[in-house]
Amino acid sequence: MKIRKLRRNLAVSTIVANMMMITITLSLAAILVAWAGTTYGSFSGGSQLFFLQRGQAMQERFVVENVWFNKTNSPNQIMIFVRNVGAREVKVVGLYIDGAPITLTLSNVLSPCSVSSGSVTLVVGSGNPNSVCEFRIPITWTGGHVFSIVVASDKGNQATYNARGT
Amino acid sequence: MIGGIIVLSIFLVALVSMMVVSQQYDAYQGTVNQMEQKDIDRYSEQVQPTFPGLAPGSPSSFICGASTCYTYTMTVSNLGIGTQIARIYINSTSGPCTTPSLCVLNAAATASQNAFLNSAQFPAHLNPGEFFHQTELWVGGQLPETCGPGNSLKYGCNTVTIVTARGRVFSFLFPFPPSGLSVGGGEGGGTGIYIGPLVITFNKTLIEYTTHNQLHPQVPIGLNNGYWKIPTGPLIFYVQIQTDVGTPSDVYLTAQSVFEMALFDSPGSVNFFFIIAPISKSFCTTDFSTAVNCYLKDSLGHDVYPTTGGTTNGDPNTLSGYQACSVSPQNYDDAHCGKRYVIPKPTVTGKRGEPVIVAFSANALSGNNAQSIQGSWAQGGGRSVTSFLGLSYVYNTGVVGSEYVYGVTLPFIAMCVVNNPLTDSCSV
Repeated sequence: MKIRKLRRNLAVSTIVANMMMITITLSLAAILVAWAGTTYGSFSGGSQLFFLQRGQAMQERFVVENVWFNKTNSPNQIMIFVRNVGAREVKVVGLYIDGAPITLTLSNVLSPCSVSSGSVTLVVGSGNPNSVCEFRIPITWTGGHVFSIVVASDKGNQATYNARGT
Repeated sequence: MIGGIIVLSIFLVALVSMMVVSQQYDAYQGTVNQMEQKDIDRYSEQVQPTFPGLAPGSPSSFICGASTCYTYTMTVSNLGIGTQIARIYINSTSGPCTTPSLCVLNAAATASQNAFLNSAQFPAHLNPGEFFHQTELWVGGQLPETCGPGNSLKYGCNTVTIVTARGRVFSFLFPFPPSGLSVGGGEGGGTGIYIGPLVITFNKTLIEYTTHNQLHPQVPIGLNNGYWKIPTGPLIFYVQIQTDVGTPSDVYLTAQSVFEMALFDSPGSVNFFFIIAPISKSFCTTDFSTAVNCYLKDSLGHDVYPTTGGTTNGDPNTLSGYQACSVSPQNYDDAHCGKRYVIPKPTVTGKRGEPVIVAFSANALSGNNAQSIQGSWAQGGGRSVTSFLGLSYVYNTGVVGSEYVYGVTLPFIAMCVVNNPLTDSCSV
């Protein structure tokens, strides 16, 4: 009788207790490993994206090779020639003259270049006519004014050029 | 053991992650290095134009496609790494490449307007260290070699801009300004007389004259047969003189300087025009500034025009003599002799000094009366005269106290004497 009573009051057996401990430990371990994997995975994924974008931006090179002031046409125009000299195509998304943005659709991009989806694409390769584009900005100026011209790409790069109006 | 496995697993995950990041960083760094190398290459380019810059080809014009092409050969030297010409821009003061038609020349395999040839014979690629590389190009008209009347430029009527495939830009002027002259300076570099410290450059405005009835300086170029024609009677000659590159000190002209003129078929018949007082500042600035450089300051910044005493204002009837000054060469200056003609030394290394307008007219040393060319010299439709320029001057070799009086006689220009240079032709 006494023995039965004792048995009824016992906790889980040693085996069960061990199994429970192992299960809990393994569960925690799985959670920990999963958390670590997710964390390191997102870290490496984020860095991959970071380096990819930085690398793409780094491969961009474009220059303003010539600026010409045309006072013969009406309205007067500033002709800006932008060339891609980098290792990947360049999407020009912004033009600024003295800090004021110029809408690309109004910048009179000369053929064969054109505005598409809000940008002008300069391809790679000096032999390709699309590697250099001419923008004709209608603007008025007085002789001697120094213009600050900024051309911006979608990768965040800029080509700057200062030119004195004639 | 389980703990060890967990730690190991986490460590491995971290390791893998770090390796991935390292690889990405390596790839990025490779891109950085590649682009840095491109930048280094870009800045290692050095294309330099070589005289004559552009030269008309032969034939100079021909039909190409639906248009007429004028061909030019561009000569450049590559002082840097190998490079490729991607585009050429030409902008001129007149002609086919004038605003708004800026000429934009791209590479082409055959002749076409506004293009340059990229072929086996005329490749667009320049080898490293290649000298006198020639590029054939075509434009839609003749490029101007003179900038035309009313233009402040006498040289560099065309700006040629070369763009390389790496994005560098190299420019030069065509025609080349002569060494030592600015684009607004005198013409004819290499065609002047260089003797001692002085240079006399031959061009259309080298010599001018005034008479009592022609007080505005007149270039002695007639309207007929292109002769340098001068009238009979009293007149004043104006000659531009400047110091040569490297002249160490200012040069003072003395009163013995003279312009002599002799009939070509009777060399014994000579008219001499002695140097007269320096021209007035107002006369120079109002009458000469549009045609020639009007020299205002000497090398020390002093005004070279007389403020007191006689000056020359263009009228041969009211001359002021250039007084002789018998002092030692060391003392030959304005302080001891009154206002002197000073031909200033160059103020910029490698350049000539500013040209000075020197007037000749007096019929005697330090005289106040003008020499008059005889009417007989214009008989028979005008007679040709040869001339000589005798210059006497004081200067030192850069050491104060080494002043010396030098005298030179220069063969000068030939002209034709007529009664009216604007209407009379020269029969010679």
